[in-house]
Amino acid sequence: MLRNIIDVPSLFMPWVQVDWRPDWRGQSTMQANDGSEQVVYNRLPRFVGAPQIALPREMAGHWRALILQGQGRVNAYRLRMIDPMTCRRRRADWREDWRAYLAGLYVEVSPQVECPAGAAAGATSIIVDETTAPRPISVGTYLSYDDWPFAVVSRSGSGASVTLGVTMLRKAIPAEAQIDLVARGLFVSTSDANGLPSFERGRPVVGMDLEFVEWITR
Amino acid sequence: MSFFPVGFNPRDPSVGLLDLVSIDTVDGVFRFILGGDGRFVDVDGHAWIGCQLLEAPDLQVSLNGTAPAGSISLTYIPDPSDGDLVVELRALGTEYILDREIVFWVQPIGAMAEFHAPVHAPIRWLTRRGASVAFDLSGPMERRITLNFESIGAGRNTTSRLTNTTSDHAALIGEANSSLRFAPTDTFQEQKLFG
Repeated sequence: MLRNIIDVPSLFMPWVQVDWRPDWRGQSTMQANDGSEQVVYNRLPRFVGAPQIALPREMAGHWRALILQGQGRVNAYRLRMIDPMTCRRRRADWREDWRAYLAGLYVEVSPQVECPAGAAAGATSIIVDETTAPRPISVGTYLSYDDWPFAVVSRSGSGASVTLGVTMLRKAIPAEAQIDLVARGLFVSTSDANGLPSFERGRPVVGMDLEFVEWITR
Repeated sequence: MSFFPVGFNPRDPSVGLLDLVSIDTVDGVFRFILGGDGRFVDVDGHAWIGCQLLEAPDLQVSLNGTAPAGSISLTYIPDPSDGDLVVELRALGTEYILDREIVFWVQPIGAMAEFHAPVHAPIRWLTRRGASVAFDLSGPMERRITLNFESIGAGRNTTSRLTNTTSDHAALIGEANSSLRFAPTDTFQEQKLFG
């Protein structure tokens, strides 16, 4: 079947708990009696995440509509990897955003920085122009280009020429490309029941545990 | 001389490897990551597509005069809205892969970044030749397409299926030789009168 991409705006990520992380996919038989262990990495690494979200009841119907478009494990979701550990973002009043969304006027905050020189796939550092960023990029942040997330492991410099040490940079970045500061990735559910919660009487929010793995065969 | 390139140590506490297979067909070479997902671009710029449905069990290495055979199979559940893959492959016929190379490769990965920017070229591990294609249709759901292959010495230790006739003898020695026309063709023995 064709895999379509369902865009999930950041409005639908009212997280309670998030744990976006790279899955390095190491496999080992077992630890030996002497404590030594050999790990084999024979799959391409990917990002995984099991966020917990709590949606207001008003949004639950639209959420279900989004998830139903995903058709279980058929389609992929473009998710915002909102990461409170490194990106402390003021949370706007969701009602305001929600009214804008229903009116078709919701504009998502998606800050970007430019990468003037580009980078090759697998590069360990990139140089970005940080002057358009709302705040300096902190170490440990997930960034993304073209829906391929990567992680920042170090930084030096400031302003128009900041050198970021990165890991998991899997695709080449062309010159003068815009890098998303709120990382986006294409994820698929791990089960068909993912994101379809049960409803509880009297609860103002609908809480659910989600589980996603990145779609890397693309 | 080592199988692995200089700079790659297979005895490291953590080892990176990718199992790759390339299948030569009439339409060109198709490259896959065996049983994995993702998309790997090697040093020559060839893209290897991950296919989790693909498996190659019982790969044998030639030793002691055996000619190892084997198979790659693709097990899947057909999508009714797509075309029927089995019908399409049957239309292509065995000539599509017959006697064409199926090569198994090992890609050494020295560091995590080498999954995306490889340093070493894939190492040619096993070379096989396509022999036949088989289809298993189990029930309404499961389909399995098996590509059988043989190695270079297949059939050398079996009989040549030639008989003691003039024509087969000519085929064996490469020239016409009529001497076998006197060869006995039945087991009739004359009875002894005395004895």
